[in-house]
Amino acid sequence: MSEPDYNGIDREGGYDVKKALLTGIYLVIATVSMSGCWSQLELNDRGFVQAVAIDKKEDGGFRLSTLFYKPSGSEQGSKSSSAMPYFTVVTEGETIFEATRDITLALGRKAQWSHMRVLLIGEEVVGGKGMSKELDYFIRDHEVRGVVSVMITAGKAGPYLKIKPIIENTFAQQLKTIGEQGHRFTAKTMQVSLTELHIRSLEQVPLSMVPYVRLDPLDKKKAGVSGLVVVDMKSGMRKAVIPSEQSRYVLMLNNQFESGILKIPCDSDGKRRKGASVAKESFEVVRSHTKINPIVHGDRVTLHISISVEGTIGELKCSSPISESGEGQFIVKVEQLLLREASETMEMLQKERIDVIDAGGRLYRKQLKTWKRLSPEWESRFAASDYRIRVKVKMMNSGVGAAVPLS
Amino acid sequence: MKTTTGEIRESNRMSKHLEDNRKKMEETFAGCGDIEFHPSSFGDNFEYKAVSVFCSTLIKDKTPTFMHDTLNDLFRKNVEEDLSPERVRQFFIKHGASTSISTMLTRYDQAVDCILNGYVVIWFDHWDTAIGYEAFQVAKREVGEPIGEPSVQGPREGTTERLADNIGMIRERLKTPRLKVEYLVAGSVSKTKIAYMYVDQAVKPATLEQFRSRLNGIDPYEVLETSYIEDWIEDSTYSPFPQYMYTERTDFAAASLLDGKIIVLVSNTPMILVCPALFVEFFATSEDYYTRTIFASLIRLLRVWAFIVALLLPSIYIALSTFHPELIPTVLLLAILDTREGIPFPAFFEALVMEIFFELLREAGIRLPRPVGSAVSIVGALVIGQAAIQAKIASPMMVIVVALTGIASFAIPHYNMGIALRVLRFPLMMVSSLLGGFGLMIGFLLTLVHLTSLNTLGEPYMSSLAPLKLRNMRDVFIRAPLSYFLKSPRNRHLHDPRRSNS
Repeated sequence: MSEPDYNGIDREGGYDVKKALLTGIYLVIATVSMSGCWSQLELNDRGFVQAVAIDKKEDGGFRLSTLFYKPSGSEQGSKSSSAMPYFTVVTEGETIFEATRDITLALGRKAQWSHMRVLLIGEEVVGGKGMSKELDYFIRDHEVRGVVSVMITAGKAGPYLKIKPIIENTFAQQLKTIGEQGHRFTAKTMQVSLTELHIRSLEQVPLSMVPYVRLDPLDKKKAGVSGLVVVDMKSGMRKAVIPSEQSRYVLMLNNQFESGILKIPCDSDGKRRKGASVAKESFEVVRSHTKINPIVHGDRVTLHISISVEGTIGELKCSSPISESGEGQFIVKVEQLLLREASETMEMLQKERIDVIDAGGRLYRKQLKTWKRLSPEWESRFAASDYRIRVKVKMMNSGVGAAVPLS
Repeated sequence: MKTTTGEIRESNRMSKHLEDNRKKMEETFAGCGDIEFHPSSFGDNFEYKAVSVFCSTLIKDKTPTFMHDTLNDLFRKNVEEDLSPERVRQFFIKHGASTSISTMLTRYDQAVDCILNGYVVIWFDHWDTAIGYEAFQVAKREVGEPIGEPSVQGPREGTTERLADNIGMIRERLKTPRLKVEYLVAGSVSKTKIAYMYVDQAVKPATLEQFRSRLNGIDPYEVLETSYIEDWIEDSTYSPFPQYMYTERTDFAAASLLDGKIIVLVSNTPMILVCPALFVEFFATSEDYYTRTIFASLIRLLRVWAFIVALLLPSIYIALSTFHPELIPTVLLLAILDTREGIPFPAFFEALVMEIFFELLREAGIRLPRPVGSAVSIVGALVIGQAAIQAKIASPMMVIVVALTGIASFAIPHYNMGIALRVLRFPLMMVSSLLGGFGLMIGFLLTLVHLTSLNTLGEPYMSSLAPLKLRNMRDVFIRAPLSYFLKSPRNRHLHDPRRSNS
């Protein structure tokens, strides 16, 4: 009976029980005592950070406002509007790290950074010493995720966290979704993550666009994201503010335009009369692709920009692209508008000497030697460069069967 | 009782004197109230005696007097001749008994066995041989729907406690002389009849040989249920995973035979042991082959998913919530936070309490009589679902996790595999509460290592997966159309090259 069968397994016990027992004890001791995995903490013992706002203190330190999620407990129905599911802890310190550790003193729970939605940076921080040093802690820390949205606020950042959210649980979550969805559907702003900022800071042209958070001019208790702040990631200084109207075209030039609306003035010559309200039509851009090709002759830089756009008619007021020729006319109108706006945007960028369309980076990737020669004075070379813009518009459909304005 | 073989034989042999025989039987069955002795007489002047001995609890109602009547008949037919014991003897030797099953018994132990198996044994004057008639009848459950494995489609016939009926139902499905049935008897007291069946040329010869060699030596053990056999022949008794499969369905048994399995039946139990059983076969039911391919395949995949959920879900929840909250999507995390707030226990303890509570309910529900059982489940559901949450002993999320785990383990078609999951869940929960995802990984890998090192009747337990046999994968996670494997013997083993033309 006890002779092993042809698989070599002892029929009597199956396994050597003593050996298995010893192995088991060894494994238990080893796993409990040797591993360094002591990060065990119940959910109730952690405070989940939703947002951080960094401001400068008058004496040079930092003031950190941290927004925590406040669990409501499981009683249903008691979620009254007075008890909002969040609270803010304000700490100060010479360094960010110190300020973050002091949170525990006020809260009694360990702060968990991995679910942070946004990182708000006060305007003063970018205006003064720059913000790269402040971001360093968040990039270095292992808990903070790289996908955290970074935004710059008009004025101090702290008070923004006290704003009541309209639909989301916290204002932090709302800001994040505004950034995401705003970028996707309006292209009037964009979303930028911590990792993207980090990458930009290592690029040849370390300029980055960061969404700009502003109070609602009509209702001071609300705030939204509109426009972009251009920040030099090397120094952390603010370079310029791009208003939301123009950020569409900056994004388009930068090939980051996903979808959005173009407003087309009705008058055919396309000249904008200031002050006069001109009826406008809209064109919905569904797809957009931009190629920038920098060509260098000696010291002269020429940027060849080709924009191709696909879209549909959004609303009509004066055009009637009912026939093939009418359709052609409408497309020409869109192309003219795009050409005009893109040129104006380029002029603005050149005036501000900000190469946010990353022409420098493209040159670096294509012609390293040329780039090395030109890079020391790239800002002025960019400002002085020529550009040629080619626009191609494709209309996918007119929206309704009869492409005439509703009357 | 230490005597030589010759002596045993001597004392075992029946006497020519009826009185000796009767006395011997009365000694043997002293105190057995249900053994009855019916004397009768025959011959011209009723000068010759006979006695019939039987166990009144084991036999058909009308048979005690059967012998008497037969003798009377005999007497009437042979009026012109003298009905001597010699005549009776000649009659029985030449004609056999008038019923179909009768045996000539010459030894006492044979006679005792026969009586206890429901025979009527008759001794005559001047004859050292007794005649045994089979008259066995004990009230048994009728053939009904298999309670353990109900099905929507397919035969509703289940096995009963009667061995011969079970074998008959299987034999009826496979009409071939290649279906072999071999009997053996185990236990000196229970003398249980065990039968094993296989289809010659479908079964792997090595497996059959292995099976026989393992079954060897079971004779002195009292076998009361098929599971005794499982325990006796299994490779690893301490493994939580079942290495053999049970069924109450005769159609499943027949299909298993075609697949080259050996099935074991034991008298007085409806459970059929199917051996060897591979890990992947526990995800299949006989109904898979009766429903449409697409649906059967989806259900198979669902069962695999249920297996993973039943094994790992509580551990995953514990690991994520205590070690890796960063892995939970933010919005879900906030929802969990809301439910967790104010619960005094750590997640592991909470899970343990709820799981044990659930196991308790399940056990209580099974053992209690049906009307009470439903009361238990109602109270239990209320207590788990409502009161525990309101008392802040458990969070709603944990209740969802435990409930999902429970339902998933019910979805495993074979009860034994479900038990394995129930057993393994707790150590996995413990390692994941100690070491988080890392511990969970270790626990899972150890389970996997154990699974791959298991053998069942000499075959690798994880067979078809490890070692990988792609040809067999069409009946593992999916069920390919039946035309792929409906040749006879079904698909997998054809061990006789001469039969390759069929």
